Amino acid sequence: MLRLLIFMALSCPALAQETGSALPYSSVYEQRRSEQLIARGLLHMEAKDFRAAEKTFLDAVQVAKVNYGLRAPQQRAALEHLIEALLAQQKWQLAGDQLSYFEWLNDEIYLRDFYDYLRGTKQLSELLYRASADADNSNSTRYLILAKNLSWRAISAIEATLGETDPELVPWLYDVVLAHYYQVSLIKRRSLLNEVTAQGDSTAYHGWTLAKSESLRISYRIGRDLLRRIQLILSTSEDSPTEASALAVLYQADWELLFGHETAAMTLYGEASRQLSAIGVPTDRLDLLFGRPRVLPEPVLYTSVSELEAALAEGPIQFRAWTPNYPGAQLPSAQVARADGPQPGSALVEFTLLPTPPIALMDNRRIIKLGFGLRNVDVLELTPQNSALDDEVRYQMSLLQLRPPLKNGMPVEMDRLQLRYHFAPQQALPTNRES
Amino acid sequence: MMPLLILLGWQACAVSPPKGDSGQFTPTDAEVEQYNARVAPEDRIVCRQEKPVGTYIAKRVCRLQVDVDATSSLHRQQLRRVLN
Repeated sequence: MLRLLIFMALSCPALAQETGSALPYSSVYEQRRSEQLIARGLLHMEAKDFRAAEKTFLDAVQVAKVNYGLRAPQQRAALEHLIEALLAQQKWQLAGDQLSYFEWLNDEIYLRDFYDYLRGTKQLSELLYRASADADNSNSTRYLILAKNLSWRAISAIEATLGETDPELVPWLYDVVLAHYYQVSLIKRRSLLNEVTAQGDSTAYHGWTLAKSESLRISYRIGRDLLRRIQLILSTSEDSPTEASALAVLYQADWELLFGHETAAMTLYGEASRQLSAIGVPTDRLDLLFGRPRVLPEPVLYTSVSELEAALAEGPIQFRAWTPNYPGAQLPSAQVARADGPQPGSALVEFTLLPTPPIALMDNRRIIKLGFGLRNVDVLELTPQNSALDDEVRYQMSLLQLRPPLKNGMPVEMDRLQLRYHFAPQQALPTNRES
Repeated sequence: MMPLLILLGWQACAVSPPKGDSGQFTPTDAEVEQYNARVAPEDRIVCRQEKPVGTYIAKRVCRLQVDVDATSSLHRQQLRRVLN
């Protein structure tokens, strides 16, 4: 009888009311309660009550552990939100502990379900990117390296399980390429650059100098090798091999351009255009495809022309700056975006994109040319309206590298291009500019 | 059968140093980075261009990071001793 009374007391809705739950449940560890807690935690996150969210998500993780087991993948949903709540509160140490736990859990899943392991790895990688994007986190670069190492381990796992030429490798290899670009973009932090004017044959060139460090060269070589490997994998896969491999050449050209190797880039752009033309892509379609410049590097590796076309929206080019930590880098994906801070604003910019003659560029090999080919930059709109922001937009634009518009594989001048620049969350406004 | 295959895959994933320790061939930067991502910090390697004594021709050499750190530390200590 006493047991029955205790059971009734535990299962009655009063307990649910005590914990603030809208839905009654029969046990604190009831399976569906984990989902209810996650839903409640998300409401706390929306209300910016991160402390309450953290506690709620922590409870959800415990409920998932009790119901599914200590090594169960079902913990990951709650765990992901828990880490987000910790990051929002800048509790770096606790977030780091939970990230390590997530990684351990994911490694446990490897032997049971390989594809689930890959899904978990992607989820963890996005969390690490978020941690690395926080401008207030002094350890941000460490998280970028952790994310990159995670991608490498996924590559090793795919090679061991599916083979060294499996197309499953492609997005992971490209993730490493992007990680190297973010790593390199660290050197574009204003404090590390010197403004200079150099004299070519007859023209003066204005730009920024920086000692080319060994790490920069290593990043270039790794990116170049991985993009070659991607092209090799795509040219041997069964699914429309030539279209995919021709597009891979396009990405190789982008990489060369990003590292200031304009001559190599132009040769590769021509090669990509020739290959696409050879497989029957009509010239007018190619002109349309290459007539709309893109900010480099592309966050996604497209393997078909139709996918790439779908990504080219009408109207101004959209650029969402990711974080002040990685200048000139665009937001890798919506999953990596911060939802807990205010958006600092945007600007609409009009400019001319010029193909720069390679011979003049050869003279300036030691200068990292930022904003290659951008001329007549005009700021049309600013939100918020602040005249001091005008200079900031121009500076941020100079950090961008755009894929030049191509006609018959050759770069052409394009006038009155428009780009909507969305400032990164946590972007310091001009008053904080370093000298 | 499937778990066995996965287990074999995991075994194949076990750490082995990058190929080419013969001096004829050294691992690429990408191979070094992939290897370092899988091993404990004390097993990480670093490859760089070095000019051996008696020649100006640089050669790519790979070493364990801990050895490089230990050698640097030893050289610093010796230099300090000489200067003091």
